[in-house]
Amino acid sequence: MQWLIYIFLIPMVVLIGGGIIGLYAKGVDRKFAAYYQSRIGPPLRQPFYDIGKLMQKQTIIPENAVGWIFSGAPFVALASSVILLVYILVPYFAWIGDFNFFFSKSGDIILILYLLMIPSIALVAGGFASGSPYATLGAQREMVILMSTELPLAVTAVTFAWRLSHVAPGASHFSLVTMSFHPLWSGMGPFGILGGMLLALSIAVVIPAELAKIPFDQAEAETEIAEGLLAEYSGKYLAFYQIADGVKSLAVISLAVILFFPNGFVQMTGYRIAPAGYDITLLLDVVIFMVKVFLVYFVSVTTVRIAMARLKISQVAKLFLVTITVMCLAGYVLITLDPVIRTL
Amino acid sequence: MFGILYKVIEQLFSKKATNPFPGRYIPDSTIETLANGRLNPPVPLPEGLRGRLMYDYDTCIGCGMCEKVCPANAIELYPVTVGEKKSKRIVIYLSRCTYCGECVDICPKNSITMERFVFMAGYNKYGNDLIIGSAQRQENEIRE
Amino acid sequence: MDKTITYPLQIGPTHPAFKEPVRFSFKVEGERVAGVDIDLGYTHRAIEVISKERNFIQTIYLLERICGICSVSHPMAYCMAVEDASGIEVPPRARYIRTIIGELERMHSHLLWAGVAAHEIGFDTLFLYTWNIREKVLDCLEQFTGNRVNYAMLTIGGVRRDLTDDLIPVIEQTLEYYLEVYQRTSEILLDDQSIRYRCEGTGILTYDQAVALCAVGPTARASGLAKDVRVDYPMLAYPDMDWLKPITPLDIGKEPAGDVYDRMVVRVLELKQSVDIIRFCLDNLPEGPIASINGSIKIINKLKKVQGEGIGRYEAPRGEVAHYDILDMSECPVQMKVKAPTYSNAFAWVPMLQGSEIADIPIVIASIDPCIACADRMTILRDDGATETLNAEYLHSLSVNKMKEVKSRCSG
Repeated sequence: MQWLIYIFLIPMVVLIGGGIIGLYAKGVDRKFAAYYQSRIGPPLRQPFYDIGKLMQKQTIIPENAVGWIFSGAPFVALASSVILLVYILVPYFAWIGDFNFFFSKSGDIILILYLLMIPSIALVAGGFASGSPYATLGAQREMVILMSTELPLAVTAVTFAWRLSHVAPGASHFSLVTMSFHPLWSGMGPFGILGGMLLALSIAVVIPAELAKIPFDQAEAETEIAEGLLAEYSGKYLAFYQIADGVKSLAVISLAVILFFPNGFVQMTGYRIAPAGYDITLLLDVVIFMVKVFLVYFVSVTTVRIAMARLKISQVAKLFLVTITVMCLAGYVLITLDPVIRTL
Repeated sequence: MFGILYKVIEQLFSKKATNPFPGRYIPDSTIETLANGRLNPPVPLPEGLRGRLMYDYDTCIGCGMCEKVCPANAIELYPVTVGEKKSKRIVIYLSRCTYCGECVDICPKNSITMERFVFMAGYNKYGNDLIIGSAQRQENEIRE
Repeated sequence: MDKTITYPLQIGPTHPAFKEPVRFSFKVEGERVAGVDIDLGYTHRAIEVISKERNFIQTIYLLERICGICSVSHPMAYCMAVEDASGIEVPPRARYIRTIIGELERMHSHLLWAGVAAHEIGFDTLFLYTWNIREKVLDCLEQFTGNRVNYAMLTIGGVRRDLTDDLIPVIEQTLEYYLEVYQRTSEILLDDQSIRYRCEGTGILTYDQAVALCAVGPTARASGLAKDVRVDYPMLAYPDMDWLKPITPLDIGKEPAGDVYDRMVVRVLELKQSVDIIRFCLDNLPEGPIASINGSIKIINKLKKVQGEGIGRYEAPRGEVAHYDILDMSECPVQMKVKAPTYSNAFAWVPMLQGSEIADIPIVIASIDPCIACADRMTILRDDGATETLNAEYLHSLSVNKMKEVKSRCSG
């Protein structure tokens, strides 16, 4: 019976914890964006105030919308974001804290890549179901972005799995735990490091696209198509989308952190902190992880979104399908060549 | 691209251009907040600002030129008696006023002046606090 | 799959990209615009009719409120029209002060435009940056005229406030500040890669189209059409500046393409030009009275005895604004006509938008710096919601009848 409790309890905890941290991350993002723009900016709690206000507001379902898809999409987006976060975080912390837990052996990168698509697909379905031309346009754009970011992500996943098949022949190559156990940078020659940097750079470009932030917020483009996908959403449904967005941004950035900078305190220093017999290393690891997440958020989302204009959808497709994919493939080739070159 | 990056990083650490709303957040008790002096200082007003109008009832001669030039028809004349003679005085509806200052310029007795004061919000557009000279009008107007 | 489906897309009357109500009906193929129709008339306020019931002084302040941004341009053109009709002279000092006010307004308008354009392409940092440096000129105007917008500075035959000696350093400081930030601002606006991605090659208006559609102001100049009322028409202090010439992208050695980027180039260069003009005016400010007639009542009394018509032209930040007034022994203008710059430029929207992407629509629309409130001259309202297209013959006959009516009134 225990698994039944866990299967409900863990997502619940992740929903609440991830929601709170994700919304705070949003607040920090807004604060720093404001500082960048020479503004004082909203208080850190502003996303919570927004959610609170939206929860009180009337939820309107447009007359010509497909009701059940329209109202189902926010829940699907939220639920899949939470599951995504569960599959990313629980195995990682189980590995770092060295304990066995319910989800600790799960966390397959292919599963994660598909889960990553579901919130966007829910958004697209909700957008198409809204019956508004703006939302339809936004949904079309979201599909284009979704499809064009897929290739760089897939190439990155394959690169990691390929490398693991050489570094750790016995282990499960697509598992996130194995990936964090063998960080990309360990045991690499200069070519491998260069390839890893190329991969990291392309993932840094993919992150804003996954999170629909400028310069890749075409699907929601406020001044072009009036919030696009979300044009018809209001009240509770919009609040759910906002929470889902917070959770998803946390999940996406956690994934990037786990892939590229997985080391915890023990791996970095080799010590465990245990004052008075209590092992608080895991707590420290959580803090270190959060700092990493916020740093990646700051560099790859906040700094980019204030320093660029919104691109056109054709430019986005070209950027991802050509430039970023070529970068990823170059990274892949460099990483695969690295052991060969070193044996020469 | 690097021009703006340089600029934003400079702005990240420099003094912010915006200034907070005078009251910090919605206070529990406005009176208490005001008494404790926790208000953020408002932006200073420049010299020569065209602010709220002030009207001197006693020096006014009721010539009505201000009413003639007022572009927003914010000035209204009403009859009074000064001593034995019939004359006129004005009221100014601030909610209609455009603060152009024509009445100030044209007044031959300098009875209308402008002060550097801009906080004129009110609940009622035609409430007594937004009508300059309404108190004198209630006192002195000849009603038939 | 060679069949392309076009579907209609309505943008407006209210839309986040528009600062004022205007409606565009697009026919869209995927992300490409196949057809466009413009529907003006949502902010019609009957200014011309209202002005007939207000005397000449009141009309100045009414016209100041046609548009909040060019709040000096409209009264300027109106004052020039009335002065033209009545033969009232403007003293040299007043002409210079008018020039300074107009150029300060041009600076703040162009900075405002740059911010709006940046916002349309999602570049909010730049929007806040330009609006931040715009504060300086607004502060200067506030100290100078007593208000940030709607300056109430002009009167018929002069200006209302003098440029006193203690105000000159304030303006000097402002100019100093702008010369300081100009380098950085032009770098950010013109060299930024993401702005170039969005602006180069979008919303192209060729030279021939600009000539054919009578485009004015920066929109025309960006297409290489060197016309500027300040240079072409003797007014204010501009004839004294022989170095003044219309700014086109050629000034930075760029062949004018007539795209959004070129319009940005023209406006950024005009910022510098305005600074130069104000410098010149401050250096050569003549002594003397600031108005030829003292007192508004005297002005009204003088204009009451005048019969005639006059035209005033001024280069507003958006292009040429022209006012036409008929005076007929009355203290109100008998007839007046406002030709706002957006009225000329609105037609340029059609070739610009044809074939562009949906993503380009906001920035292309914003690129002519539209002032819908200026341009709205007519609106048709029907209780039953029926739409009606007015054709050229009907409109022509309307204007002929109107002119006959005005003429008979003037002569009779």
